[in-house]
Amino acid sequence: MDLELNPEQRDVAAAFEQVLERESSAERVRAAEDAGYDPALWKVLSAMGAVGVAVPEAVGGSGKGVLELGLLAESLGRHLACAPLVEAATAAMLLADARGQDATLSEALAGGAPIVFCPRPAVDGSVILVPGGGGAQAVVALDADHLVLARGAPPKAQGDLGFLACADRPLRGAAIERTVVARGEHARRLWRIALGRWRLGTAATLVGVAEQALATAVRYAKAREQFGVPIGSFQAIQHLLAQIVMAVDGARLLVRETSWRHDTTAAEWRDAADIAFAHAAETAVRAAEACLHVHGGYGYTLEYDAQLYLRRAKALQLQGGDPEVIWEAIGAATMRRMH
Amino acid sequence: MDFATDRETESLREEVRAFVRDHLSSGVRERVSSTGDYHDQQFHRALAERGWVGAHWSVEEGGRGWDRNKTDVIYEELASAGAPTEGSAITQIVGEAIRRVGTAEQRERLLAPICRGEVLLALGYTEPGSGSDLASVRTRASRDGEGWTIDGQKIFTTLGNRADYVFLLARTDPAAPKHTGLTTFLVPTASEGFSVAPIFTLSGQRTNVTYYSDVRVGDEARVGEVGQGWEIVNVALAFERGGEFAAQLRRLVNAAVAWGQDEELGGEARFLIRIGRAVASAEVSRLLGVQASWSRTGARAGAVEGAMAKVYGTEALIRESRALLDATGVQGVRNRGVAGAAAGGELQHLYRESQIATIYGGTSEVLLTAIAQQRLGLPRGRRRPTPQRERSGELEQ
Repeated sequence: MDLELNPEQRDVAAAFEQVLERESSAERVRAAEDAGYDPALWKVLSAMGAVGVAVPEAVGGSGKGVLELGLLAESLGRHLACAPLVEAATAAMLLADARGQDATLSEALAGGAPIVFCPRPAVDGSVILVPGGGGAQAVVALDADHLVLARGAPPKAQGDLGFLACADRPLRGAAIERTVVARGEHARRLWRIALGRWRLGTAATLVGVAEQALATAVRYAKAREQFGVPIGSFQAIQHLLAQIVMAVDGARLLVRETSWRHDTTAAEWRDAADIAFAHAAETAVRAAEACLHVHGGYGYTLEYDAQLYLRRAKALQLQGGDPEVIWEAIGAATMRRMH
Repeated sequence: MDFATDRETESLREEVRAFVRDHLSSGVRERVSSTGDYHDQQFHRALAERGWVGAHWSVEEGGRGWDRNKTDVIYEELASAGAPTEGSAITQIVGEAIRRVGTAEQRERLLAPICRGEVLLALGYTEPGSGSDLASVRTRASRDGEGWTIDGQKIFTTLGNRADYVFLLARTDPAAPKHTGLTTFLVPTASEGFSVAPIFTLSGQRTNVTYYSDVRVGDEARVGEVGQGWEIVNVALAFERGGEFAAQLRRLVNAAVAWGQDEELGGEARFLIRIGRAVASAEVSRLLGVQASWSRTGARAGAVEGAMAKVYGTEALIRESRALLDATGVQGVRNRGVAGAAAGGELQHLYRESQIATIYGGTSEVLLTAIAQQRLGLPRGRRRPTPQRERSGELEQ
């Protein structure tokens, strides 16, 4: 048992954090807010090899794992990055697992516009509100019995709660170049694994959002004075924030343990990925709400960042659908496992 | 980063499960439920014979020199089976204090017998007037020649009716500031002047009031330096807080799932959602417990991590047992032992039992304040004692 990152993992995380401090600064995030996508940031991320972080070296990736992807995602969350890295890294892993997709995979890793995975299946031949769909050259999605890659000109982002460049993407039609990646049982299996990886990566992003919201709240509670003392000395504030730090530690541990299991053992990780996502999402939303509340009226204004954490956290949670449906699925999986 | 538990630990888990099947007999369960003592001497001795009491203590101390994580596995498995381990657990908590600050004579006299299951210890901290404000205890230990005379009263001395010694927090210097005038003692329950009266609780568990009336003990009963009591108790308290609540949550999930398999309810969203949430709470509690144990293996006591595991786990236990009991509807009102009780009455029982968990070993409120200040660095608040407390406080004596 060792809960510390190893030196190599620490270096990867630190290097990435440094890049995001510069390339996803508060000004850059606000500048990218309407589009939800910052092409300059994307260029930097793909040049660093972030898309292929969990893709085997033999097929052009850097051969690390979902744990390392999660470390990058935590940074993305902390800095509210406007870049669909988790969606692109998930698509790249899926293309590496599927047979005969080497050319597309090379393209996904080559540094052009992102190829993104959609975490919800298609309805009537199109997927709606694909995160990063506003900037992506192609979308990988489950369309009934087929796992498809659909290329087409990226539409304009619609304007969404989490500034995630959400856009609807048709998977069929005249303007679409459609490739079937897998069919039937094979397609469903690949999709389920990819969905689990997306949930894990997004859970890591949510851990980052929650951490940053908590840190912002703590900083403000130490500085802001009312009744002649810092508001952070009041028990009501202390207990609110102490509740959050427990949930955040729990979320981080869940994500890292599940990722570690995914990368290093043959043990079941897929159900745990759902738990990690459901818990991290709820935690991030709570942390962001608390952050806003601790800032008082200022937290409600656009000038402060609290509203950005709240919007990003809630929107990422909703990308997974109605949270209660995931809780129900976790319950059903538990009943099956223990039968 | 490595979450692996070695093969040895996993096979130990199997061994403990087999032990539970062999030793947690209906006779043991019956004795526990009729006495209300969450301790059974026969079961405890069987544990000790396996070497599972004090297993992480060194061989010289009477233990087996095991990794802390490995002993955690034993108590996790026992807790999830609902085995009576309170006596074993409390005795080992006090043992931790003896290992750290006890004299050579005390370590010799107590540690190996503890490991053999021959000595049982109880905690004597709380008093009728001193709960969360533990440093205000008024039980007095006064110098008496070479030894000490003890006078006072403790409440919630669980297993005080069974233990060989009470690990007592007493005031030795009424003139000193309240945190520095305290000293800890191991008071033999065979002493003249010691008496005990039962208190019965919501879950059926028995606890006690213990009285100390001119109890005379030698100086060998003193644990640690005079005036060091507060620090000693705090280190011991840190060992009270870990991952055992995750095991209780697992027990809760197991009971609910087993019941749901037989009921139509097992396929309903309102039930499955609650199972899903309870499983997640159990997982988070388990991992916060892992974090606490892991923080303890170094030089650090892992006090904040332990507090986090305790608060999260115990609050989850109340929340999830309430939710799963709700799922049984009116069926849930049948008491344990009544024919037709939902899940054998286990959900109702765990809901009852969970209520004390956020109180003992440090209330959620006390621990949340510690987490906010020590982990998040938030500033201490001002405390204004009420005039009445100042008048009756030990500082005025």
